[in-house]
Amino acid sequence: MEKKINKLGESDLNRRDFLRGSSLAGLMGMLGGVQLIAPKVAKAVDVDAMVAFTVKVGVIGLGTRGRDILATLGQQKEAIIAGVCDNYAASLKRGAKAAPDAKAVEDYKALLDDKEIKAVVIATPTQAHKEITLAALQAGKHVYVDAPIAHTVEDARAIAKAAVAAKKQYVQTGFDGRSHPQNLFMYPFIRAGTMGKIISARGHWHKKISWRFSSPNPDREKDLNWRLNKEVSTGLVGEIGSHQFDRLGWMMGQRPTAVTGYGRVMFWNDGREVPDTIQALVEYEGGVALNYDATLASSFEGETDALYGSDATVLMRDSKAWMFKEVDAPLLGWEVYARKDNLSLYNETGIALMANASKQKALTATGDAESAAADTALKYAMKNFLFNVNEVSAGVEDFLATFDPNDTKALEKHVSEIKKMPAASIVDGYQSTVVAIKANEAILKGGRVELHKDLFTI
Amino acid sequence: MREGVPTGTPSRRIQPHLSNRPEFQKKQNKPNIVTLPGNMKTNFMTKHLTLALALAGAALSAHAAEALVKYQSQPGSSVKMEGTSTVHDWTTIGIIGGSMELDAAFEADLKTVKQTPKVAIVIPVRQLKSQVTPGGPKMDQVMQEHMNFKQFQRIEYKLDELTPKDGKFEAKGALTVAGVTKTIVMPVTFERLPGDKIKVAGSTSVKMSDFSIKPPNPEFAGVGIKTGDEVKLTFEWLTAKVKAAQ
Repeated sequence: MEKKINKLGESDLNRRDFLRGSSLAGLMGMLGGVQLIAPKVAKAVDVDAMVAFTVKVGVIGLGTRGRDILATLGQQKEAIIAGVCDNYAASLKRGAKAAPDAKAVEDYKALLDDKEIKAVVIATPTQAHKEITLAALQAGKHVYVDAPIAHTVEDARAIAKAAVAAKKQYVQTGFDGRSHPQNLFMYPFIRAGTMGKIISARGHWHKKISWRFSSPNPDREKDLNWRLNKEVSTGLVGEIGSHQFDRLGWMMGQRPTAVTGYGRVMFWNDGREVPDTIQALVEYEGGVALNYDATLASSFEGETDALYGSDATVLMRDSKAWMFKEVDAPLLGWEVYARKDNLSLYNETGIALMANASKQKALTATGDAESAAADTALKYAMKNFLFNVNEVSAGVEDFLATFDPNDTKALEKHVSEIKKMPAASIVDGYQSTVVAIKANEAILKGGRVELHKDLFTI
Repeated sequence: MREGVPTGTPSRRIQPHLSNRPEFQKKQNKPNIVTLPGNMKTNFMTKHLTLALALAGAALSAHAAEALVKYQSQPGSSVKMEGTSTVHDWTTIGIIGGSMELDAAFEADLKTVKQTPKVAIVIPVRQLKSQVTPGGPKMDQVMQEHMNFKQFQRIEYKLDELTPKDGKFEAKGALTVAGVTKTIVMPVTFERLPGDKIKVAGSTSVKMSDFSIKPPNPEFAGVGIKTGDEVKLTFEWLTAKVKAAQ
């Protein structure tokens, strides 16, 4: 059979060829039926199944967060977990079980000495971040340091300075919401002025949980309960609130100027000094105030962030978001086709702010938008961390092999121009961390703390 | 080297380019001691080396004995690949490394070709970045897969012949992509820039299939994309004179 080659260089099987070559088709032809078949194309490359690169990663700190990270990395085909580390034997054993091929060490230095390990994820208690992050950068590793990045402004600044100076390395901070597609989808809507003038913000986090862990070993129990130790803990506002401040400030594109706080131990009277119930009012440059509260004593309302605008309000909850328009707001057009959800608690109908959340999609129920929203922010943060680590290390390696290795200025330029997947940078991480530290200061003293411009400079 | 047949050592890792290593550059400049007595160093070792090199030099042709001036690739050198597909045209941009060695006559006027300049160019495949947004990284992955990146991490070019033509030059050289070498002829220009720099620019079209590369047809969100076989290459190569080792 003569094959015709089209302009893209592949065979074009036409109807005549098909009829000549097949008796069944001939029969169909006689019966008057024409079978319509798509032109044959070579099998497409399955882009999602490709493993274009791998990164050898070490995880330091194997508490609940560290184990979450291990599990998440374990699902990424680009990650090779080459080392796990915790200075507490039982945690190390548990972590090692989750990553059986990784070398398990109690001393993080042993992990940093391993030249094979290119990147480390630091998920230790916050007060241990500085020492380990500085050592990891010194050892030439790419670093993911969890949020908040430190428990004092001095530590946060030391980490940020070292990270900025490490020009050949990639540093990401644990404000994972910055990598979540739901937030990335919503961001341009808010920044484009869809809400009119943003007039106020609200955030809360409510959960009935003690935050206290028990251990038969008293020393271990003290270590384990670092969140309840006033000396090193940034409290609810640092460990939880910082993530919400980060998202709301990012969406508004504004920096806080002052914070007023209030906090008490209202329920968990177990001798703790770190408040279990807090309130904070964060003032922003544009005059907007964020009204924030968090508690460990009530679960009502769960976690919600809201931005109120003169044309519309955006409500963010469980990695989903809705927009509520004012009656006098201009018609944008797209919202006509958007899916509407009934939010009974609010007695309102919200316009779903989700990628692909159109009426058609809702009818076909492919669940694309739902499944993307259901994935954790950590998953996207890890995925993007691995990608960015590979891009930066490949960029540096290729630059050094191509040009004069002593031309550091050109190397820095080359690295800074590398396109990265969205993630919380060291600057984002530093700024959101110091805001939370200052907010905790305001809560503990029960008053107002001004945030000087210099606070935000690294 | 047979055309259309993969060559090269498959397991080769990326190494700093030989000519970039300081010890290599030093050795390269050693013959200067023979031909340019003014550069002679007076230490004991050099005196003995000079004798040895003079003896060795006698065995070399007059050609090779002529001092060549080396120009090294500079950051800012870029290569652009432009292609087509059933969805839209695409562009990737990458960096160029390597070096060229010119004889004195050519270096002086960038016109007189007495001796073909020694030109060796490398292009790291990983640094070829698709300019499409979004989806660029995915396209890069597809391209690397099709170019067998894991085995062949660089595109290489060696100049064989340089012929003046209509105020420009016609460059004939060997282009190696994904381990397959083809001879290509393309027009190029040499331009002197301030600060002992020379810019070499040119453009040509090649076919992916000539290098045994199947034009990719990836699928994104259920949409199959077919890329065209022909690719246009445009390059601007900035080089700077290598200062003699002290």
